[in-house]
Amino acid sequence: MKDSTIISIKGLRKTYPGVVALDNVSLDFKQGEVHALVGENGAGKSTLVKILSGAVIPDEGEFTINGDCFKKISPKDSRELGIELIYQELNLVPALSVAENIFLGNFYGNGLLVDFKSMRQKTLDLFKQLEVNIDTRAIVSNLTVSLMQLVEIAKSLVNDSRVIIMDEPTAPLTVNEIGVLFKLIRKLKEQGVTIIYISHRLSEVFEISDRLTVMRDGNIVATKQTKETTREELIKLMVGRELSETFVRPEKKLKEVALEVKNLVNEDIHDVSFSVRGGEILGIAGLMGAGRTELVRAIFGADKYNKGEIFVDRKYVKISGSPNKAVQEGIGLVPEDRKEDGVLIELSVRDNITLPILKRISKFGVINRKQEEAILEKYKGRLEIKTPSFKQLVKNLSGGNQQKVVLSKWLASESKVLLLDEPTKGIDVGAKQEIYQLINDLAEEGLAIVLITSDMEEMLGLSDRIIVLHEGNYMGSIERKTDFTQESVLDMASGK
Amino acid sequence: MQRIRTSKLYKLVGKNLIIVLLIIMILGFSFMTQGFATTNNFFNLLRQCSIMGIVAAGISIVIIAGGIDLSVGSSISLYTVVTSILITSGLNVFLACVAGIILCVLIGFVNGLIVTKTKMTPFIATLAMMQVLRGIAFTITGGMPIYGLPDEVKTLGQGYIGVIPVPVIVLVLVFAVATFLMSKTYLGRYLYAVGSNVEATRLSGLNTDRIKILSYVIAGFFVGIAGLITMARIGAGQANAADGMEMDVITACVVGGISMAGGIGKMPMVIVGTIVIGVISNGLGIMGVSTYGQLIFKGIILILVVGVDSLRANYIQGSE
Repeated sequence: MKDSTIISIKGLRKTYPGVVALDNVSLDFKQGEVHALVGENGAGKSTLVKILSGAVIPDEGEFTINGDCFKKISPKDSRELGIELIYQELNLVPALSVAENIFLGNFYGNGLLVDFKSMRQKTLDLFKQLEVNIDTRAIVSNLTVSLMQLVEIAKSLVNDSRVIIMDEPTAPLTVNEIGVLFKLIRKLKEQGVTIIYISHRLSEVFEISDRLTVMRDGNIVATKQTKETTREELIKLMVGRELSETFVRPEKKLKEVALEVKNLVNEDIHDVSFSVRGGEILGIAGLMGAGRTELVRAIFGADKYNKGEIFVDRKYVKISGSPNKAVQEGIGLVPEDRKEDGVLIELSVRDNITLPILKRISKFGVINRKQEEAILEKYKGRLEIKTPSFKQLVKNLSGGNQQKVVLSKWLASESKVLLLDEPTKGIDVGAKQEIYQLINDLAEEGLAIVLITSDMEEMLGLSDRIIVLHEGNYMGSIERKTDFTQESVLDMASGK
Repeated sequence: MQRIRTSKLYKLVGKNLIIVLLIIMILGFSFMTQGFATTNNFFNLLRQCSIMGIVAAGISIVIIAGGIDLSVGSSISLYTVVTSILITSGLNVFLACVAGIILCVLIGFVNGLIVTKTKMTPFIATLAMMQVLRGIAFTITGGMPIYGLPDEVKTLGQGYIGVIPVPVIVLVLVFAVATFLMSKTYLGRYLYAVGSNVEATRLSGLNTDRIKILSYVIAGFFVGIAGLITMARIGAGQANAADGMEMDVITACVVGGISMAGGIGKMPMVIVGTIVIGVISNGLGIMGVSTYGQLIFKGIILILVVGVDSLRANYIQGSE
């Protein structure tokens, strides 16, 4: 039972104009296993699973599901065969309730009226089985992202799915919530459900998967038992070269205090004070809802604060509610939602990077193109942004390069303080390394850096000091010299 | 090989669909009618669509910055009424014309203020403004035209410099200014940025409200100029002037590739969009098709252009 193959793929090939997305890929998935797919962006993972979900039609090859052989399937076929794909972008209808979303497309009822009562009951049963606790009447847009994720998974179980494909399911989750998700995955596995798990986070892959397949440039590089491989080997297979994922810690020379926050208060944060020196990387830790993002947004003026004072270079600045002022004072924010808030995705690399400094490089309102070009060249070289030209639209860049565009924007405007909110979210392993290196370099040059990340290794590896928030309250700070461990951070973050 | 070649042609045509369409229409009308392909008619055509073009330059800036302005037609009518009254009551002609332009700029400013400060959707805010302004124009005049404008004013609408009608020269100047503004100045970049993503622009440290208001103010300025030309052409102040113009203008913008979602579009293409609408009106007019019949064509062209464009966008996205 345990070793029987549920999906068998043979010689799949898919090309797009100019790109081979999949090149003669063959792979088996067994019943009841958690099979991780790993690889850098563009390796072909998403194309592969989209073929199984019926969203993409392959050029060549075939695949067998439950013994039936197909050349292609429709999304409807895929569902009927018991395959569910949970997308990175959540596919819930925000305006409907939890129960309605779960039964979307197959509402209970008599054809005229909807039987909400039994839908809610069925949803409740499902949640009990999964040991999650969500109000079935709640409107989805009011839920946190992590709860939405759980609803999405529950939704995939309504149809007695046999294969659930999860594409970066933990990206929006905090440590605790990842724990809940993993418990759920183990439960499903016991019930004989196959999980195909796509993730950039290798620690998770090692924790949850039974087997893993490494993809690179549309090819399968290796399929291994998770137990029989190591992190280093995996990274080497993924990027095709040696790459250290260790955090290099340069000798630090801290400067004067660059940013000081005193008794900041608004709806989400209650009396938070801290300071960062030039050259220092300060981590802000906390669970979901701890107010980390809200804190940096308030400092940057993206949201208002009611009380409190902010000093930049020891000078009192009145920023509340005005990013304009924050930027003038030399503060830059790399927001959590890169595509919505960080970059202007429909505009060019050029338009994005020089946006805050356009006025400065203009004369009588006319942009000095030469000066602009020089600035762009400088940061393209320095951050190694991979783009064919500065006119390239940002939406056509990889996640890592998009993030470099955001960073370039703040470097070009000569920020003294950088607020980084999940700077490596959705970025592949190789590019992550470059971003780490960059953060360290910037600190070395004397910038003060405030870092928020849900990736504990990242937090512990990069930060010089960590302050911890819990439900908007300042819980304390942890020095690198003393107790710099995941346990001590989590202890404090859980409000103990 | 064959496939690659066809897809290249497909791309080329797809990218320049409007221009291809314009050429086809011009050729079509030239063969089908006697009077279309003459120098005289060429300038006549341009003069006919000059006012629409000047307004289109203004509206497209508003649309690029993420808004819409439905009040342009009413602004023009109010311009003709107010300026005519000022002139006939003895004010210096030049000052009266400038006062009218200032009025339109103020209207733009108020539009911008309402949109940014109340967070009302621009469609509703300017729809309301459209009704208010038209109402004022009719109330002032009681619906009667105001005659008695001096000839030097009428020259602006009816005269020629060489063979070229004055409104066409104004049209070209307006587009030169608008194109320069949108492609060379930092303000142009700001306008694109705000229309593309307000929040990301705000988080880049720009004052997005101010930029949005400015887009309406600039449009107001162009609308003022269009008001002046309108008044000069009809030689009077009329409360029903430029009635329903906003729809033609928006059609011209969209046909010219201005995205209603904001942030996308090029000024030079707006003039092409304007000429497309002009060619339809002029060519069908020569063929004896009524204005109602012309409406059908304009609608079909709009569906064709936007439909093909959105199919193309989906095709490109699907292949990524």
